[in-house]
Amino acid sequence: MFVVEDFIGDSKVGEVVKLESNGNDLFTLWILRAFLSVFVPVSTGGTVSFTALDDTGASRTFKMKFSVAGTFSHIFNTYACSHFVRVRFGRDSTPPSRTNFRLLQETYVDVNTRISLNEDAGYILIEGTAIFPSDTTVCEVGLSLGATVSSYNVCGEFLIDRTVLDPCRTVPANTPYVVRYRLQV
Amino acid sequence: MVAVRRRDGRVEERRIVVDKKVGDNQSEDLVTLWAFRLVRCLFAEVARGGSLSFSFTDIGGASRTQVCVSGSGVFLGAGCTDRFLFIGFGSDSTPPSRDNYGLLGELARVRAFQQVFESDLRFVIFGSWSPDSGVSVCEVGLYLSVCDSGNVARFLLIDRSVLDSCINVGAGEAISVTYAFQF
Repeated sequence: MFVVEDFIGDSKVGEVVKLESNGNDLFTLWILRAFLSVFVPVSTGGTVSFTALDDTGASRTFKMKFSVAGTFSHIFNTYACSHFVRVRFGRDSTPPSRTNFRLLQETYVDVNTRISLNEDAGYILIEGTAIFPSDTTVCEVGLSLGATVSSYNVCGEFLIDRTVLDPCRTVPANTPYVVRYRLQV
Repeated sequence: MVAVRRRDGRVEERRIVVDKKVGDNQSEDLVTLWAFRLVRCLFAEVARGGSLSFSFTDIGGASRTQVCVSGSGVFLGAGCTDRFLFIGFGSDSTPPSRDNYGLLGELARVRAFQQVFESDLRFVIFGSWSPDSGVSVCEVGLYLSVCDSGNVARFLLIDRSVLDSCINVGAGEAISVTYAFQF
């Protein structure tokens, strides 16, 4: 289940369910592992790994993000690029499309977007916050990933979600507005 | 879906996986498209030394094509082995658990094949096995051969499903399994 929740101050305004939960099974666990590895930020030259049991029952380590010198072209190569996730805020209410590659009227990007894992509950949270200096209308939010988008050393960012809020939210000045993406097994 | 081809040519089909959906059917939903891309990379079949790439538009509007499977010693790579999928057939009917790392009564493991329908956000993985003698198949599984961080080939169980009732498959008959991923 992929849920977008938004909060003004401590009060939840609403949520948009993006994916359905399909139970606590092995396949779903693998999807969570994959997505967690994709979203976990890592600095240039860093590594993101996970462990799993192979078919003999032995614990093995697998690298999802890695640093390989030279000209190794791979979206998860960290040799020249840091990898990150960002929550984005905007004011356009045009219905979302799979061809969207940015928010249509972007007003703010949280470059300190936080990601956390709750293993017991089996979900990851990605949380972005905006504090606007004046009353602001937010109609669209988005999620982007930073990665190696070309060759081994071209760093870039791409939008992986654009969600339109209905109705648009009116956020009072100087009040934290939080958008939380929850990916749950 | 599991299908058995009997010696007289009849094909008996049984649908066993009805709720393995990881996305919904929002054809215009961007995150569903990305979920498809990422899961596609996760399960990609790539021969040893090969690579897989996909195209997308970055946030500046530039069209990009980047590799998502390639290299040695990485999960999304094929530097140590053919990164292939396999279907397992087994005789144990113990309910599945996320702690399973292999079929509990494995009888055979065969190479699976994959077809991708990108426009429909759908891909299927299928495999078929003909036992030499009669068997009872109660469980099926999906395995992936990958490289660990030391660039050593490993088999990982990605799914184990137990049939609602075991299927008897005779010598000369064939049982096939299809995993269908619809986003």
